[in-house]
Amino acid sequence: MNRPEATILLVEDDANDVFFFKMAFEEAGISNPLHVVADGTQAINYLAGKDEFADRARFPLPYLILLDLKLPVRMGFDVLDWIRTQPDLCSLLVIVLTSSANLQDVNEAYRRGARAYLVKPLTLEKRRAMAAAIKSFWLEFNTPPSHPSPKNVTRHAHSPEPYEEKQRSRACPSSS
Amino acid sequence: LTAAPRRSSAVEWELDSLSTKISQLQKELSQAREAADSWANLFQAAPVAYLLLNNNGNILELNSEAALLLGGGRHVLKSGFARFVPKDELPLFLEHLRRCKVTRQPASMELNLLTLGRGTVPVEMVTAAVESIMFEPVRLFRSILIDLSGRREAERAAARAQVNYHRLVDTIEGIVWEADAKTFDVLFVSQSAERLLGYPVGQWHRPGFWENHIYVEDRERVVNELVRAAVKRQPLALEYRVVAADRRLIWLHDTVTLGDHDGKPRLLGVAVDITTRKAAEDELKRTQDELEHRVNERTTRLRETLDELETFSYSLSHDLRAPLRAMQGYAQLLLRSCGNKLGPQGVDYLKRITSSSERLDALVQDVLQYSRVARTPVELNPINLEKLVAEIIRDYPYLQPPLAAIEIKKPLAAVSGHEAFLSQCVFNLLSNAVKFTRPGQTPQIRIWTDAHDKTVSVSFKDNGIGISPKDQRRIFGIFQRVHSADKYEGTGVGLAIVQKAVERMGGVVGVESAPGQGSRFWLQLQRAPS
Repeated sequence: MNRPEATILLVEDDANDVFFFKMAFEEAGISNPLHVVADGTQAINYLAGKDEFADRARFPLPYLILLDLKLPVRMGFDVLDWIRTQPDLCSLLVIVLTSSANLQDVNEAYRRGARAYLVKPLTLEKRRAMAAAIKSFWLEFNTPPSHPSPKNVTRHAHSPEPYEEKQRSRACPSSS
Repeated sequence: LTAAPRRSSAVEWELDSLSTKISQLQKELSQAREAADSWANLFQAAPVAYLLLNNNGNILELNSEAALLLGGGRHVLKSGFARFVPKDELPLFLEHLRRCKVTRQPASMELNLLTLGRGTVPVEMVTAAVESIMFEPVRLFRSILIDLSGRREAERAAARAQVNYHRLVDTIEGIVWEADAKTFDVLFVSQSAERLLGYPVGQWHRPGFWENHIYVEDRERVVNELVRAAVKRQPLALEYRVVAADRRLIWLHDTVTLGDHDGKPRLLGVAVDITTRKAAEDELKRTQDELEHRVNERTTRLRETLDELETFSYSLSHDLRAPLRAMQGYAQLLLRSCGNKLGPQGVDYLKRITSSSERLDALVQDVLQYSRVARTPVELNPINLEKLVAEIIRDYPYLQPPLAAIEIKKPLAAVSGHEAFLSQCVFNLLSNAVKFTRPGQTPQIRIWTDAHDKTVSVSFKDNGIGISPKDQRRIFGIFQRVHSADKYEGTGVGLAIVQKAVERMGGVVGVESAPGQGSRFWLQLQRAPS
């Protein structure tokens, strides 16, 4: 299954890293629409469709979020926490992409709802390999959940079954 | 002859009346004798000393008790009583007799009798004039002597006891006091009240004096407790301050009991000065408070330092690596896009930038590893060493044939440790053993354990280049390297991590080696409970 139209949101404050990832994505042949925000508050505003991101046609809900942890204003963990409190967004695919290989960060990220944890590679080759892996796994092999709110969602071909609907809402972790 | 019968009848009557009179007299005499004997017996046997003196003070008669008291038995009869009276008491004695004689009333005096056998004996002498016909001078005195020595002894003992009691009460290092249980007015107070507090004993008896001199902060409590004790009739111990005459506050420990005097309730107490003890207690408390304060302060500082360290390592793991990625990335890009134009020297420089950034990244990783080992809380569990070693070898091809030959001398004893830490140690030691070999030589490593009573030593023996004794001391320090980077790559943190991890697990690490002889690294760890 190929998803050339699925939007990717990169939450990254380091301009160099943005530059290298864009390049790596390009080299890996990922042509999906890519939006970049530089801090946690912007990420939340984007996801909520607030302020400059109010136009959902220009800023559609992302299929995949690549989230750095160390961000200005609001940290990556804050973004994860906020997502969990949003019933319409809690099944979003969030992949943490960060410098830290610290086990505490890893465990914390998964606990707060991250779907994968990637440590930013040092070399261009490894970065390209990682981009290729993202393309292959997340954009081709992975089957995502259906998004809940029809007005926000690029719908899949088939409508969600009532059973799936139930499963999804149960899988939503509470904000407590 | 015929006249004889007539005379005889008159004579017979005379004779009869005479003989009747005689027998009557005889009877009276014997009765009188009996009475005299009885009186004499009574006189002799009386339990008091009894004397009969004549007008001149000579002893006419004395009973056995008197003879015993004076000594000398009945030989003293007829001698003057004055010989038993000390010279200086003679005028008193003569006055005693004279008064008796004049007033005809019994008189009493005390004198120190000079006895013949017992020395001086204090006696009371009671004398009465023997009744004589009115207006005729008195000729006889009856005297009783009462031995006072027993009574005197008792009196002296009582007096002595009284003196001792007062001396005792006054020398006690505490105030002995007695007060009315209702008014708290002091009825008695020992001398030490003056010594301790400076107020003369006389002042204490003023109404309300004591209560008014209890320090104002303690007064209400003391009064309440005393009232309660008086009602419940229970003794109690109190500690309170009293304002001394020189305005100092004196701490007293007062042990109070309840008494009764003529039906009136009394408080009896002994108050001891505990000012020094209180000062010591205060000092102790202040020292403790200060100590606690200091401990808290240091704990806070330590926590701050730890927090800073945490922040530092967080920053290290997140921020320090970003510029490295940029250096690395742009150098590689430059190499890729402009390599042709730069020439061999330019390319060499770029490669050096690349490898330096890689090296710095490895350093950052290792320092993070080290700080994690130093900070992570450690819980020790039994660890299957054989399984742990096998898994490490399985995960890293360069620890497997043909690149390396690792021989495990089974069985390996189980140890008590932290699994992640121990894995790190074994991995670092095996990596070092493989790395530090002469070029072209296949690393050969033997692993075995020696179980002791409470510990297990785990040995890793290699056929590598060995370490000189001088270097053996340095290798466990952080950033310590004994080879140049171009010969043997490394950050100089690996063994420091091993050392820290083993230390956190309560163990010891060491090395035995000589240049060219290979090395044996050993870990001494706690033995797992079987």
